[in-house]
Amino acid sequence: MANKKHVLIVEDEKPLAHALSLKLTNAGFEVTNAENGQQALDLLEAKTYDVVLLDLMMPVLDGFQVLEQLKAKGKMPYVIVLSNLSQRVDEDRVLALGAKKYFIKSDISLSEVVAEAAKA
Amino acid sequence: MMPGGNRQLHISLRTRLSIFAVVLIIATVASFVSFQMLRRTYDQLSRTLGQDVPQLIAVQEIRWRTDALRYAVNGYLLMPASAASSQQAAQKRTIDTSIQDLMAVETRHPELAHDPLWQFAAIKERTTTFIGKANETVRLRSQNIAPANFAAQTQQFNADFTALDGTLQSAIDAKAGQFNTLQSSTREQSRRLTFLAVGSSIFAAVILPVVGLLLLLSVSRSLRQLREEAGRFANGDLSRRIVTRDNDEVGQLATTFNQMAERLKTSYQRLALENSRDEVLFESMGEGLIATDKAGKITLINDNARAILDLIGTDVDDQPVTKVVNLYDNEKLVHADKRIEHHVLHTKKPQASIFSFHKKEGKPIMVNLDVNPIMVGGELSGIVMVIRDVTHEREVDRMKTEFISLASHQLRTPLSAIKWFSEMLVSGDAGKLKPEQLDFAQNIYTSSERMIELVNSLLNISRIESGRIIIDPRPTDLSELVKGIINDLGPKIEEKQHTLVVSVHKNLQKINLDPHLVGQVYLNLLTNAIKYTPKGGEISVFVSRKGDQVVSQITDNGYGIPKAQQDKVFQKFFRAENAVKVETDGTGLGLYLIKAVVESSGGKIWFESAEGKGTTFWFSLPLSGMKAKAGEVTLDA
Repeated sequence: MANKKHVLIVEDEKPLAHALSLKLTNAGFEVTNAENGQQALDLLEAKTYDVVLLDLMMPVLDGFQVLEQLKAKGKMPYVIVLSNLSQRVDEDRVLALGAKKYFIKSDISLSEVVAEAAKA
Repeated sequence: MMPGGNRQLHISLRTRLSIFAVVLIIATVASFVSFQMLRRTYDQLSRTLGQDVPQLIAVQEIRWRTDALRYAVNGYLLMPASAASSQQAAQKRTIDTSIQDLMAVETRHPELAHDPLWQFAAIKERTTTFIGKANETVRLRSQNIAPANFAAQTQQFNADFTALDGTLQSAIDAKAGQFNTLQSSTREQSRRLTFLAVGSSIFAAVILPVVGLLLLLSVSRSLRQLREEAGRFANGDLSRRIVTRDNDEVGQLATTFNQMAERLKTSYQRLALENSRDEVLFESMGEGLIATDKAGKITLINDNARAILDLIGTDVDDQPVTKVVNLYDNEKLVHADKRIEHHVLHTKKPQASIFSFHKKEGKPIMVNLDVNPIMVGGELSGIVMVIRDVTHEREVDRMKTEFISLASHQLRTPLSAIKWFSEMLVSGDAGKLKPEQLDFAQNIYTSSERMIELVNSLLNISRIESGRIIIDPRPTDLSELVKGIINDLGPKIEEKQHTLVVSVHKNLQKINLDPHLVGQVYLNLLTNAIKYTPKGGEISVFVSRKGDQVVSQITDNGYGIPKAQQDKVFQKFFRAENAVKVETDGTGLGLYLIKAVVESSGGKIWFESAEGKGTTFWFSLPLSGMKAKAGEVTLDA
């Protein structure tokens, strides 16, 4: 399927990354996983993705720094932030940096994630 | 005061001076009166000498001239008829001369007629009669009447003379008696008056001045002693007391001075006690304390303030506090004009704020400044600032915030995994499940959701209880806010086939509210109404203006809250018995949380409910809006 949407999942928590990747694959997306911000930036450097599901709290390079660097480069993909940080200040910050959506992982269901990814 | 009391007669200084003045006046009057009376006695005496003596002489003259007349008449009568006619004529001339002389005396002394003592009318009458008799006798003699008749005539004449002479004699005797009386009375009176005059004069001129002087000297001495003693009080020696024997005004003044000294001493002792207590307080208080005058110059600084602000061993007296202490706000030096000390000195209103202070060594510290104006009689006399090193407190606060945020993150990650994997099981991502397996997976999914809700609520409660919730008011259209929430709740309302009526007060202005916080209140109350109302229920939302409040009313015709449990509705973890039966899902934290939200926004929340009939919740918020608060955390939606 050449027109499959390509999703980059940036998530350091393996169970969560696994669940997301399974569900999205089952839903017909092409999925690539990154375990931290630096990996994500490297991957984004090499290839264009239709959707990036970005976690915030990660080792090496966190989600905020990823967004800052992407913004600095002027190459902002369609980013949906999936985080368990629930403070409004964090949401405001990522949206200001250019993310399209912000969801709290524990509050969103996988089917909703799929629906959001499909909107990209 | 004299120990043992004062047994002296109480005669006030005023009374003493009054008595002295009265005695002085009496003595003066007495001496004046005595002199006046002495003068009157003298006048009387001189009048007697000038008037009565010539009269006496005149009466004597009348007497001896009468005698001379008698002698002349007798001489004429005894003259023999043969006597030469020239001789007889000479004798008759002598008689005439005597008569004229006698009458001349009377003429020369008309005053005799005015003195009743002389009985002058009688004298004059008798004299006139006597002269008449003398003339008659002379006439009879010259007509050579018979000697017998003549003799009788002579006898009669001499008898008249004797009567006249007797009258004169008695008059003279009376006058002499008067003289004697006058003399003795004058002597007596003048002696007495002289004694009185001289005595009172000596009294007025010598004794009274001496007494007055003594009186004056004693008062002056008492006053001098008083002045010396009062001078000791003035110099601060309050241990002594003025000892006085006087019980007059000076004595009373001394007593007053003593009382004053006693009170001063007590006041000083109390002041000294307060001072030392203040000093102990001042130095032992945990906070730093600086006082300044109204120009902001340091007048007082305690050791704690020196320790906090790196001022140990530095002379800061009389120096501007804004110059001695440099404060930073967000790493920027606060200019002297922008410092809160400066503001308080100008606005005279207390102010408090937190700044950072750069110590000579180590990391910058955070200091809380609490600045209060010192008002004395409505006038600003300076400021007192309490300085607290809050570095540690702030660090603990920060750690608490971080902990909550970290805990929420850490708790949510495994919960998310449980939720997502159970979701995939349920939705067949791992292949079709047997009915029992599906039931288990569904239970895991629902439980994970409840767990997540519980974690969210607990975190929200810990945030709101920490008092560090951000309140970020902005002009909010309540109609739009309510619509948005109802829109989000749409699927749940549809699921239970409820009818929903919404009415928002027309022309309700935008109110300065934190939409997230107020949204939580509507969301919570509406969720409850939907949840605790049987299918096909009726739910209404009314937003109206009442006075300076906006009141929201959320009504349902659901299960209601049992009367017996109504007072527990806002308690943490409370769930009504009937609600638990119909809806297992629920944390019992929602109403507790929104009550805290409403109250922290200056509003109130209350309800009415009847079991089986429904419930109405109201909450009010001030139309003036919420007050902004720069907190640190927000609630989870």
